[in-house]
Amino acid sequence: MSEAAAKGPAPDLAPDLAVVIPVWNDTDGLDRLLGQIAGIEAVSQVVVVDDASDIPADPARRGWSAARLGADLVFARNAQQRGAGYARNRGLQKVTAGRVIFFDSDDRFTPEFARLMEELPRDGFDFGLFAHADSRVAQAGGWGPLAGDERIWERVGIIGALAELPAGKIPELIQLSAYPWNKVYRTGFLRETGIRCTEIMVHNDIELHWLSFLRARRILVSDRVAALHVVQRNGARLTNRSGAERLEMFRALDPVAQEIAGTGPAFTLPFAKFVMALFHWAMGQLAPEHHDIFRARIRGFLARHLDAAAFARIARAEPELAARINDHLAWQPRAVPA
Amino acid sequence: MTDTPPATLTRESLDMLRSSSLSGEIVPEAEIVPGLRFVPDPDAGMRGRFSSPAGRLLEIELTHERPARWCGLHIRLDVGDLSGLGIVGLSARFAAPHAIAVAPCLRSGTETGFADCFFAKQVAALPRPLLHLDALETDGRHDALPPAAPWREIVLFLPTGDVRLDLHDLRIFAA
Repeated sequence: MSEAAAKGPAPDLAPDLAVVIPVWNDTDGLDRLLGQIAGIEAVSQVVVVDDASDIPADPARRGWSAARLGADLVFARNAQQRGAGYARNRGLQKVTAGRVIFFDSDDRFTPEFARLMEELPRDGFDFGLFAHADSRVAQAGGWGPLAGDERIWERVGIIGALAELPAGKIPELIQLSAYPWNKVYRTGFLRETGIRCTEIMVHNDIELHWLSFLRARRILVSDRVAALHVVQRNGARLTNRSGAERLEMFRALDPVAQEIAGTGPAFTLPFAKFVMALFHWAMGQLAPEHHDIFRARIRGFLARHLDAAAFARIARAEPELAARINDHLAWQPRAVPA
Repeated sequence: MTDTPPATLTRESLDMLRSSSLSGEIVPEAEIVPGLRFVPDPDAGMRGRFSSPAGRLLEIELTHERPARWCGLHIRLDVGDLSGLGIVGLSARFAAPHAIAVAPCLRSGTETGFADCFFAKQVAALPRPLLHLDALETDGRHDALPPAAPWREIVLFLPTGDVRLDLHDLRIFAA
């Protein structure tokens, strides 16, 4: 009663996945990642975009070639540092494969990624989201994301190597916040919908993540832990940035808020929870001299995008969240002594 | 205890699941692959489907028309004589949307039927699977684990209600 087939890509299907890698001053990480990619049959194209590293991160200078990778190799270098968002967009323009994944040079694929690619269709979906592991969780003996995202996965309750995400679960899963580029996109989906990364230094992926969920017609989900994200405290990773570049997050949040306003009430509360958690987290990252201007921008953002009906929905569902929003709306800068 | 490396006792059936892509209806008592079958309570009207994704063993969905007394997944073991061995071990990694427990036992054929020796711990299946490890010592302390038997199998007793369960990995070994 069973239908059997050999596992692995069907022989008549050529590899059809592009990996777009923004890199900045991390040739060792890039080397390691390219070494992993060379062992993944599904990859047909690698696009490396060097965001003006001090020493050019050209894979060819480290001995990498299309033959060694088993995939086309494209390299581009920005004349000046413009952030991972710009680098990803530039890389996306060069993609010729039917599917694409954005992956940072310090990210690592796990063996599950190749298995995921054996099962992910070539068409008929917009993106496939997979689970990841965070090195901080791994160091504590676990294997998965940080606690907040883990709770979201548990609430969604979808398990399995590959499943279709029911529309009713989207408002929950959209709230995943860490490493939101853990998706394999149908390249045509990104191009047809005009979804891009925000060209700012940090938080460039918020727009990509939220608009992808809001505009997709068919989302696939896998509980395979297909990537490991390594976080080094006080490292150069953008996660650790504490400067004014974080204040640019509103360039990513504004277009998402506008789209949310047009999609109906289902996403009001998830987005409010997401931005309030982001504001709280970013305040902790931000150097104290930027706190006042950040609070002023939060107040302006909330005033722009939360109308009375939306606020009432939030207050009914989560009064404590509404109270925190009120605190931001009522915030005034401290008077400077004369 | 000897220095002999641990032996895998289920190589054929489980390796076949890992390396081939299977899916279909679960038919009571019918082998999905050689040595692996579901044995439900015949009065419960069990129905189900299974698939075997890349690198994993099984994803199963079971429903019952009536309350069931048992539902077991049986896996034939390639060991009859336990003399010279110290343990029979089990490692598992299962997932389920909501926490459920699976009770594993080592079933040995006897002259009158069979004897079930349950592992001390049940396997917890959670949304994010955890590694489960357990072992039975074969030094004669378990009455239900005779040193010699004409046949043996691992039986995983599944929840008797409707269930979705993913078996990411299962290894039975002896040393």
